[in-house]
Amino acid sequence: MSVGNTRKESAVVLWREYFPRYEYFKVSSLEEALKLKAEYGENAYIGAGFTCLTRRMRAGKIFPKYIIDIKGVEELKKIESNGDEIFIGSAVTFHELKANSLIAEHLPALRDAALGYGDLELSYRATIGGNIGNASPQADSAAPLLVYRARVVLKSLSGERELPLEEFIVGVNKTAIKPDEIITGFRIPHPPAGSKSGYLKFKRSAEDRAVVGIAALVANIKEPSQRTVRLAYVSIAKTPVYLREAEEIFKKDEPINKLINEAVEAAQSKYDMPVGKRGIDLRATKEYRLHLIKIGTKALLKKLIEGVEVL
Amino acid sequence: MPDSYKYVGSKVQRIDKDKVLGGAEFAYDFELPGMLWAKLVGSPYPHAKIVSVDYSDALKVPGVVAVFTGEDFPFKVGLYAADRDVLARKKALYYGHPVAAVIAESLDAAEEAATKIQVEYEPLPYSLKVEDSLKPDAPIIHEEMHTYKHAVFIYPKPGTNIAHQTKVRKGNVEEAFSKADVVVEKVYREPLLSHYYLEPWTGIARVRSDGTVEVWSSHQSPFAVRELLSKSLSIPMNKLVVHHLYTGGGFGGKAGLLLEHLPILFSKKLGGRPVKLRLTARENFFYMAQRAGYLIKMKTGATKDGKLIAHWGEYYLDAGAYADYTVNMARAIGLTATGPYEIPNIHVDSFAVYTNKVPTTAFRGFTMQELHYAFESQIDELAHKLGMDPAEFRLLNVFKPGISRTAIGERLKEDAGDPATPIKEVVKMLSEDDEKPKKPWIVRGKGIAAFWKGPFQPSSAASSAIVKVNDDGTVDVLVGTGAMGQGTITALTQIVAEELGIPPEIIRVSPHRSTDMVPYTWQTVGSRGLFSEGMSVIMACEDLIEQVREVASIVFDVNKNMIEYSEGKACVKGEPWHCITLKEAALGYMNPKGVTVGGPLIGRGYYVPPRNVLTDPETGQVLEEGHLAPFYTFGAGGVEIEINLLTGEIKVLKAVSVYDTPAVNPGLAEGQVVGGTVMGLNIAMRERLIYDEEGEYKGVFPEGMLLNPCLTGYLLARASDIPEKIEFKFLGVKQKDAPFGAKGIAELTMIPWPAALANAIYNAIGVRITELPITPDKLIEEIRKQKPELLEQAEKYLEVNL
Repeated sequence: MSVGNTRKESAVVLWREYFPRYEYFKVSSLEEALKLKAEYGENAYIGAGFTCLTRRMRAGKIFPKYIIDIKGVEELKKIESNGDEIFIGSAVTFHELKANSLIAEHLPALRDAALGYGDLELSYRATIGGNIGNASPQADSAAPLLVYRARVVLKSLSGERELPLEEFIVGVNKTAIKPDEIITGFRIPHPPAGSKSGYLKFKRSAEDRAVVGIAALVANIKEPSQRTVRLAYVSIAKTPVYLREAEEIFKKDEPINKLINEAVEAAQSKYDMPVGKRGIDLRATKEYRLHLIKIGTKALLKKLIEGVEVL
Repeated sequence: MPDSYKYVGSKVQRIDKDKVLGGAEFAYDFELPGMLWAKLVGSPYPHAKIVSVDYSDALKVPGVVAVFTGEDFPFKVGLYAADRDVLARKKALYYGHPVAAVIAESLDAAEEAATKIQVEYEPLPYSLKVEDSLKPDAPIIHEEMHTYKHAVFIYPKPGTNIAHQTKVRKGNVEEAFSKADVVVEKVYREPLLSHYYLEPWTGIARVRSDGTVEVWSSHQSPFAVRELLSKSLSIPMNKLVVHHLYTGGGFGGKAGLLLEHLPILFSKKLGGRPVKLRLTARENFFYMAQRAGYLIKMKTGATKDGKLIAHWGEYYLDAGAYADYTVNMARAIGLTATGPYEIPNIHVDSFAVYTNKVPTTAFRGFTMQELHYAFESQIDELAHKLGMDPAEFRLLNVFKPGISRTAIGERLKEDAGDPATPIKEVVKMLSEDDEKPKKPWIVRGKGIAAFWKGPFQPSSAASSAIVKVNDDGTVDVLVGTGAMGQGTITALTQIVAEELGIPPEIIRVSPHRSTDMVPYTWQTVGSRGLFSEGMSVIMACEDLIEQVREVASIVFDVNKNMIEYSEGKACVKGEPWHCITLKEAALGYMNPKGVTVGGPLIGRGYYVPPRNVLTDPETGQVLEEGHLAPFYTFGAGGVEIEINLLTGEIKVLKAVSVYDTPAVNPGLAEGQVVGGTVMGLNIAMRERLIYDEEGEYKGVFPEGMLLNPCLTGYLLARASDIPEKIEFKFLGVKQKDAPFGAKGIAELTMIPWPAALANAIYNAIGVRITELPITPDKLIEEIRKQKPELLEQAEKYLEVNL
């Protein structure tokens, strides 16, 4: 803003009580939703729990012309395994993630994320599809899905495709979804036998979003050449971060604490909250987030490797 | 409370249960036939000339009735300092400053039209910090300050950004510091805060055909709203009726200047049609006033035998764009400059300073939490420097009622209370368990803070009450105090029951008040409601009892001193068969032959603070032997905490507090303690309104905008953030001229926590935090600066053993 210049504002600031007009479709089949999406494209927003969409509408950030409500579509509410892969439908709520035995048995990091997500009321509404589709830098479910190498299943009238989650989220609230596509769910390979995984979330109050969230998966830790260590982070950059470097770092035959320090430094180098002392989300200082990356990564790995819980 | 009371001192259940049952009516829901809706639009600049407003397109939206701008209302409104434009006029003073209003048949139409308003601005230099506002070349926010009306005890400095200055001068500070063995000098910072009451402000107004203006709104004090509106809008008080419904919380934020003038002025321009202005939760952050920020500089000296001898201070309140109530808060913090301690030599200046932020106003505690955070940190640090126990040091210096003089030279009454015992009790309550944490990276600490507070009000702040007996012997009580959840309705019912000797079930204190129907009370603030209304109600009951005795003395043909009143009847002494009940006397007593004695029973009572006086503008000293407030409640609080040295997270294991007063209803008092403790600790640990004071976010967020106007950004305490143990005691020390000896409680319950927390941190790890809120990132940063070895040690526990 340059002082002294007269300027005409197209609008003054305004906080509305009513949402601007939109047309609302409650669909009961995926087919129906796909047809609407094919017709209305980018003007149509998909929702199931609407916890993020309504908030962004209220804040005046988006103005949907059409809203397609998919929470009544049964096939999007499934959690099932075919022995190799687990499928989680996009309209599965965080509460359902918490309560599901397949998740508890095979994907404990995702269960941790669900347990620490928002408050009880929110967890009954918010869905995993929304959490990923909204592409928030703080999306709790993203970190576990990254260490589990989840693929996002996208459908349109012209067919189905899959994208690794890493490629799907491309920026703050930006994904690689096409205007006619809907996220139908996530395909997640069963984690390696004997692996351990978890999610550690730092927050400012009991029901806050992540200040930093860390997911880790560890297998065959004693055999450097066989070792698998995967790390992923949320709320440290514009998008959730999968720390690809960690895979190589931990293959080295060096003392484990040295490798952990190396991984911590690699993770810290990913910090990208573009502006200001407290990052774009104003949640905590850069120094503190780097500190949490360090102690959180160490604490989580200690827990998964030794079974000793520090944090 | 002694057992001799039947109703006072017992846990009578709340009467206003319709709130939890969904039946309570709030201004938020209130509608009138033919009602129009108003919608405000705000400035996108923190400081800008308004060149022109074009609303021609807005008027074309179907349903739109009118659009108003600042030029439609060329005058200022306010109470202590009338500094506020009705709508921004000539200049916008902060981001969000309302510049225009749309009035339409529906809210939807008003909102639609609001998007079509175009405003031309010329941005001006702005200030988001007190320090910047005080610079010689600072942009002047109120250029016409010299024309503003203000209260007699407010001293603005035209030509600067200083809206008010209070001076306190006592003894010789320079000489005293030269004799001090230890001196602590620090700067404390506390951010702007939101009250975050649950009901966003709402107001509905109409003008009746006889010219009477009626307002229904969400406010704390119906008579203060009437006074303000009457003065600001030149409406005679008999033509201005303020209706009080249930209010969904206030915490001081609905005490001062609200927005009632807007729907009134709109209605007046539109032939008197009812107009409703209802804020959204987000709008409430911008259009309503918030709590000021604080910059407190202090230097305090003591001798090695532990006597406080000198205190110097500069206390700055970041008042935002309008300071109508904050000027009086700057006065409050100045005049109570040294907490509950006697110091012979004082030199303190307190200021309210304009910045280009949201306007500010009163907040629960009226500067006392903010003052005590700084002052009780000083006290703690002085004690550590002297090698004395912090509680012992406090006990050496705390006021002695009947002997001590306060910072303003007020001699405390002999029955003013007991400042010392709460300190001793809190120490005992904290020491009860001394378990060590099991993990070496977690450390425990305890900290205490003493406090005092009285209602900070005009020396003439009056209250009154009417107690009426109905034909069937039931009783209606009329008072003017607001009902916003604090429990006055229930507690006043208990007092009337006790005074008249009748069961609470046949007494009703209406939660709804209209200024033309109920007797006057100044305000519902400062923890004065139950005290002032209680005193008034007691006097009204006594007046009523006198009337019944009078009737009985005529009926039974005896001298009035032969009539005694108890349990709802007046009887001839020694002849309990010669009685008249309240029911029989309600409308006048009719004897068997039809002759009626007396008339309808209406008791009247009032309370005006005895010998409350003003202070000298140059020295802050009382103008004659008298008092600043009708009571002071003394107390102390303490916390036991665990600090996680790895994360900087603090867990409050136990929060204890002790108050020197009895409680009229211990159940409701407990509710106040729990609520105040949670609120106070959350302010200590989480709450703040964020502005880009350092200019780091230019180009990312609009300049000068409040950055966290929502609950994901402004962190209120959630259920799981509440400490495991909240313990408290009421000592029952009675003040003689107080309702059943009881003094105010509400605000007191949230004062000690930031100071107690900071002192507990210091006690645990030797790190002093001088800025609120004490968040984990701040704590880790300060540990790194002050005690880096603690972090290094703790991080060793994270090594993996493979």
